[in-house]
Amino acid sequence: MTSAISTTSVSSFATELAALVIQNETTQSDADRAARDAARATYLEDAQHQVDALHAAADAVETGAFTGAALSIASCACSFSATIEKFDANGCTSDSAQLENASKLCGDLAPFAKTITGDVPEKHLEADAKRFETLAEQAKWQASDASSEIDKADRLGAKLLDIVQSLNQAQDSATNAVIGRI
Amino acid sequence: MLNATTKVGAATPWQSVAPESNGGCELGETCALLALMVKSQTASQTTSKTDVEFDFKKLTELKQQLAEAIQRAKEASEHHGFFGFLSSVFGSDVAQIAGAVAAIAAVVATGGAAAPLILMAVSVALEEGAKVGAKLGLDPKICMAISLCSAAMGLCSGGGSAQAASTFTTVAKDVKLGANLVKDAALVSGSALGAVAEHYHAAELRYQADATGYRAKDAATNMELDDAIALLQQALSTEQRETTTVSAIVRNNADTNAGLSSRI
Repeated sequence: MTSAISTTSVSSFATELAALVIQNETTQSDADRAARDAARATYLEDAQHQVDALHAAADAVETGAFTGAALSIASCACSFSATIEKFDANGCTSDSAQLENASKLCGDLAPFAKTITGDVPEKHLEADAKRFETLAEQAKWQASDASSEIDKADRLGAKLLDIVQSLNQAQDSATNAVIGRI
Repeated sequence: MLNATTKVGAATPWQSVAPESNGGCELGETCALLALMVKSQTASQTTSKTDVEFDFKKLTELKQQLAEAIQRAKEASEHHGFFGFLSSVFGSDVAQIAGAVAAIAAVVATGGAAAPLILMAVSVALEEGAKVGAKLGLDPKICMAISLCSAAMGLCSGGGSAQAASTFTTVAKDVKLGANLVKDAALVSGSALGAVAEHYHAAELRYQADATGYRAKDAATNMELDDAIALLQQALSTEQRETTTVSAIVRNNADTNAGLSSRI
């Protein structure tokens, strides 16, 4: 670090100190930039995970609905066949009884199947989506914080540059005054 | 941009403020350095401007995609509501009505033996009702209509009772079959329409998910746009600072030269 400063053409202790502080701020600024970029990447990644989870939840809704509907339709088909069978036989037969049992079974299974294949996975995936949303929001805050730090470092750097400039101007004025006095 | 860690100080404004020694050669070097630094900042500005334009274009596209996703979600929601309503009508209302008709028809069909007695009772009740109505001052036309109904019922329940009962039972069985079939068909339609409604609901959820993704990308692009604008601003201010600093150096050199000349 000392060698870095000594290679520059600065000529006073104050200027060297300012250079050191600027160097420090630059290092901090670089670290903040890296943190900000990482936070942004995390934000986008978490947002993508959230979108994927929501898509999967939508798929689960569709799967559950189709499963439930398929069983309901099967139940109705069995009931339909049982009705025809009973009408043709002019009364209950073993076939119609079996068909009615099958219809009842399918009808009872339909809501359970819908819940197991649709509602339960949907709730899980929605919870995942919420978790990713929270993580994304957290990453967004981190990126925002890092950006604020970068701004702060930049402002401080600009201020230091102004000071260095003033010092040099003062030094130049002094030099000129000395020349004038010789 | 701060570059204090860089040892080569050509592009760093804070290093350019080092006092130069006097002389025309040094002045030329200073101007060359200024030209280099301005060139560097101009390149930085150009890059930042390109970034700003790119991000702006990207933002416009994202806003358009977001609007499309929201519009599609709205359409899917409308379809979901429409098919959900149809599903409710077929799966609930129509099926319930058909089920009730089937149940009544089943009662009539299974109670065929009691049908003539029921008809006779209704006939007697209507005849008595007509008489009481006339006494109470009911419109004679209405009383006559009630009497006619009573007579018709009496005919059905009298000589032709057996045939009427058989016809009733047959009709009731047919009605029961038809009502049951209608009920099952309505339930199938209701289930199928419900599945279609849920399909549109899932589509709506997918479009909402897409919209969420576009919003996230929009936020990230906004951050990038802010960075690009900040960099552009910084490049402009750095360029101005460098120009000022080099001008001060040149002026100082000129002053020094003038001072020396006057002293010689």
